[in-house]
Amino acid sequence: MTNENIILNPLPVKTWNSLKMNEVSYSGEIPEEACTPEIKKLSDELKLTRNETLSGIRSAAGDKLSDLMQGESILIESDSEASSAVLSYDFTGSRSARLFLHAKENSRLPVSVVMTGDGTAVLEIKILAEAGSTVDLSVIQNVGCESDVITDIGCICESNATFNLTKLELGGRNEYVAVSVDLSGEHSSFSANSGYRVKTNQSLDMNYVVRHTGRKTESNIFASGILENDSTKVFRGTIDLIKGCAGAKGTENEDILLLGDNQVNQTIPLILCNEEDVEGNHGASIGRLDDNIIFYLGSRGISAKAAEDIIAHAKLDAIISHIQDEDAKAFAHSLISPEADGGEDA
Amino acid sequence: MKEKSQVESIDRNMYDFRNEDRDNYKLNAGLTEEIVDKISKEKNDPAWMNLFRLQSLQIYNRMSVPNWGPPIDGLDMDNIVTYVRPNTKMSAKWSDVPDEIKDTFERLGIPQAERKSLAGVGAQYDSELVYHNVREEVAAMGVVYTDLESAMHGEYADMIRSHFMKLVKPTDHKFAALHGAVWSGGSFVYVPPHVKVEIPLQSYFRLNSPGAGQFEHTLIIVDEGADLHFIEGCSAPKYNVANLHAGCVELFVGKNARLRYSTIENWSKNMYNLNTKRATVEEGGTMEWVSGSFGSHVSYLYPMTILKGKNSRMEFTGITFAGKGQNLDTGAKVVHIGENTSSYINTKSISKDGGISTFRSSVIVGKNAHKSKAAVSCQSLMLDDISRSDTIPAMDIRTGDADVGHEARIGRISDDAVFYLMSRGISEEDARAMIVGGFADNVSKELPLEYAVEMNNLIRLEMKGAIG
Repeated sequence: MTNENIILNPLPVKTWNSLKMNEVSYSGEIPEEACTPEIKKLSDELKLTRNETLSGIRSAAGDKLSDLMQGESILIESDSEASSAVLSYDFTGSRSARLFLHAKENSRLPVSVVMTGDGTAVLEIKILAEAGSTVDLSVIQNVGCESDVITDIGCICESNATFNLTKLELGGRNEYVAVSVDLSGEHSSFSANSGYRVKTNQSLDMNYVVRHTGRKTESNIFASGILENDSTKVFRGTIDLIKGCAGAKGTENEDILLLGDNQVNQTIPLILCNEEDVEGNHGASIGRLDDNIIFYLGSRGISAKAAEDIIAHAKLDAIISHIQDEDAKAFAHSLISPEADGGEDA
Repeated sequence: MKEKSQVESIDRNMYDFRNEDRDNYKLNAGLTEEIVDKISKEKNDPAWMNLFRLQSLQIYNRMSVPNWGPPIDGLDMDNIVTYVRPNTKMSAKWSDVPDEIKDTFERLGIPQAERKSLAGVGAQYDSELVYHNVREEVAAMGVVYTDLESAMHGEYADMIRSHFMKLVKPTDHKFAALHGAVWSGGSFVYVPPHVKVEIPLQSYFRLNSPGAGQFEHTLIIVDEGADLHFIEGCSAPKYNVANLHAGCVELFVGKNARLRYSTIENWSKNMYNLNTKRATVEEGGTMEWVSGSFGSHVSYLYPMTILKGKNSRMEFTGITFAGKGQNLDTGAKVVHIGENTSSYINTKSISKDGGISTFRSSVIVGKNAHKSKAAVSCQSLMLDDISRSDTIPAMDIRTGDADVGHEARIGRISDDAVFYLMSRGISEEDARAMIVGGFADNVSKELPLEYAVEMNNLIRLEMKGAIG
């Protein structure tokens, strides 16, 4: 446990300090108590052990967090076409956990992680995707609304490996998400679909860093979310096209729907490039619901509030559609349903 | 594998000539209270300005250099001469300017431009203005265009005092504090209400002395309903020692007024260009920036606009060309405060021969800037695999009904486009120069013809021998 301030989510390249976007200071605890997941599903092809061999994989959360992490380590390995693994972590009472995923050559490793409970939740996930493998990771975060939540994901992709990440951020009071991906192998790829709904007095701080070092590598980061009254969100997204990654392509997009007022919405999408034969793109769209949509739905008897809920739901639904495991997908749907939200039904 | 053709050295003779560093008055290198006091005495500062300089020096000494941006380790203030006075007084007659200095500006085309297309010209050589003139018909409309030092002692003394470094405060950053301590030269422009100046005013800054700094201050007030286009140009010969430019531009755009501020910056490649430019815009006012950055060894340049009044707007159009030995960190900042304000930042950058180009921006939409709109577009072109191009755009949106868009793209010249042009008999070098010229079109079309030609010449100059 620590109460000292630690720096989380540093930008790989700093900008004006006055913007307060270079990093975030975290003064909460890093719990010592380990969180053991409930294994909801584990297909026969997967092997589960206790092992820390992947702990050295790079993080985007900052060096200090890795030093402090002590939670129990679980390693899931796949050496074939595995069907699914679903792990549920209950962080009640403040806990930390470490999960390592190892997809061996030409294997497939689909894992869904559900985070619930009340109390500080710290989850570190480190992934090695060997040549020709595919890792599909879905993380559904619905920790209690008074909790601090830190999720730190690091991945190395070897040649022709693919890492698909789906991340749904719904709970927590202050949430910190760090995702670091090294596309070191030729033709390796990374795709992220991040959906969030930041409610009143919640804050979400994200740092996605993708380093392209392999030739013809490809990354695609898509973040789509809703910010309600008095909420705070910071999105840092970095595509680093490093010399030697000829033929690489990196794209990041953020689409934010503002509901209500008094939000703090910070976005800083970086493209760093010292290779000529590459493509880097980023785009961001931030705004209220389009008047034409409100008018269209209004003409069909749907109130403005209900229209907002429909569109917000649709945004998250689009992210949830990327979750591979049907049970995990159904659980995610249940979390965003109007009943779960206590919202007005259309 | 592509075969490398002969890379020719760039001929910068047009800008790279130098006059002998003699017949001038120089203070010692370094930055001390004594030096700041001497500058103040040289300038015959009023008491408040003398105090302001000394306070700025204290702030400078307290502040640290930025922990972001390009390295500035090669800049040692102990080796920089902060004040160099040419051996002449400011004149409104071109014939009174000493031959050597006159020849410098004539080679740069300044008097010719004045005759053809300018409403007034100011020419600064090292730390002092050597020529300042405004057309009679423009002066007759009440337009004031003069050097800042004269304005500080005359009819506009109170106006200067109430505006000088109020927008860019010495506490903003270390080099704003440096500017506050040692500023010298620059212009004051006042355009009275509802006066529209049809043709542009121009200031040209030339730094001739090796190891010197130039710290000119430009203060422009465009009153309610008035309209002005101001052009700024700068160049210097190249030396083996570091030169420093830490100028400051403060622009006040009144209600329903419009100001366009165009810059073609072509400092020599030993220059540290740590310049600060800022504008504030009242209700219904418009600020337009057109910026071409071609020179300097290191640049930190981000013109900032504060959209204070409702319905005010800004547009920034910029291009940066970073070649060998250059690390140019450029961009723009905008702060939306008033309701229904709008901004558009549109930049292009090109990196070549190991040059580093960074686009850095910030868009801040405050909580009361309801229904504001902001759009940022930046495109970067990498011309080889030894250069670097980064984009670092930040957005901070604090109101629920803002509409903010951002797009950025980094890429290379399409081989297909080069092949197409070559198949029509154009050499590879010309084809590439043509494509880069087209890429820079957004800036050149915003400039008066003479300046667009100069910018296109600069691009051609930089592209010479660019086949790799």
